[in-house]
Amino acid sequence: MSIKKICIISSLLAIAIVLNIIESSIPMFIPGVKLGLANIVVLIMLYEFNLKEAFLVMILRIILVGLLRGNIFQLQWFMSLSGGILSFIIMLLFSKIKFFSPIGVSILGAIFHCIGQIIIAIIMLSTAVVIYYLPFIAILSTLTGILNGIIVKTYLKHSITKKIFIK
Amino acid sequence: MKKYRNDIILIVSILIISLIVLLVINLNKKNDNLKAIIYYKDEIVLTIDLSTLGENEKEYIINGDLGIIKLGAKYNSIRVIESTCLNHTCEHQNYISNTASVIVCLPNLIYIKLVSNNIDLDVVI
Repeated sequence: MSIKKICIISSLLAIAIVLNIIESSIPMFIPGVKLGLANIVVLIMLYEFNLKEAFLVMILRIILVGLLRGNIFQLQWFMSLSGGILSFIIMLLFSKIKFFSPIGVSILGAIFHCIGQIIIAIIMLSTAVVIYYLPFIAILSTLTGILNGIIVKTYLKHSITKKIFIK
Repeated sequence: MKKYRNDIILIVSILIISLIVLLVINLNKKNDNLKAIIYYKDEIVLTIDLSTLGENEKEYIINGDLGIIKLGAKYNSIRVIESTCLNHTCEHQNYISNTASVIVCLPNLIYIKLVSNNIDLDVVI
């Protein structure tokens, strides 16, 4: 990996971490709901970089945010990890088969991020009662997924990575 | 618009499926003669017969994984008043008053489920 590429990936990782941290201060009016802005960076990486680099950013973002928040290896962190990995697999799959535009891929990523978290909740509580939240989560994830998808689509359309980093 | 056809199909199907599921849940919900069952993981820690309570809120304290949780129960409804968790999502959820709702305090591994005491008349004995 060239130094230039390491710098680009590190910058994108830093953006993902900052987005992850600032989104918790954005009021959403519904308890527990977040915009999932860090997903924007992972999705951009899936379209513009290779699998290894995208995975690196996703996993490092979760570990570093866990360290910054001080909740690493706690329940909330494991939920974030499980959601992150599941949504990454789904977004990887659908970004490669090109059946949906980045908006559709972003929606699926948002929904599967929540499904990953629900799986951990089911394991921890030993009950499927949390599935009750799934229809609400699916509707809200669709809305946040559309927003993130539009941002990703605009970013990719204007080739911002090339303009800013590879000038 | 043709470019986004698959996306639109995806969005519409998610919304339709979610709304149907919500409709089914809401059609089967019961609002009267309720009993609150409070679980820690899969074991029952407390049962409160909400139908016998008055309109004044009665407080209950239970122990979760992180510390104590203060519950407020009144006639056919229950809420979490105070919890030792980080996000306090369970507190923000406020009162639940039908069998289609649950309150989950995941960091404390506590959840509250409402069941109806009504006996279904179509049960064959």
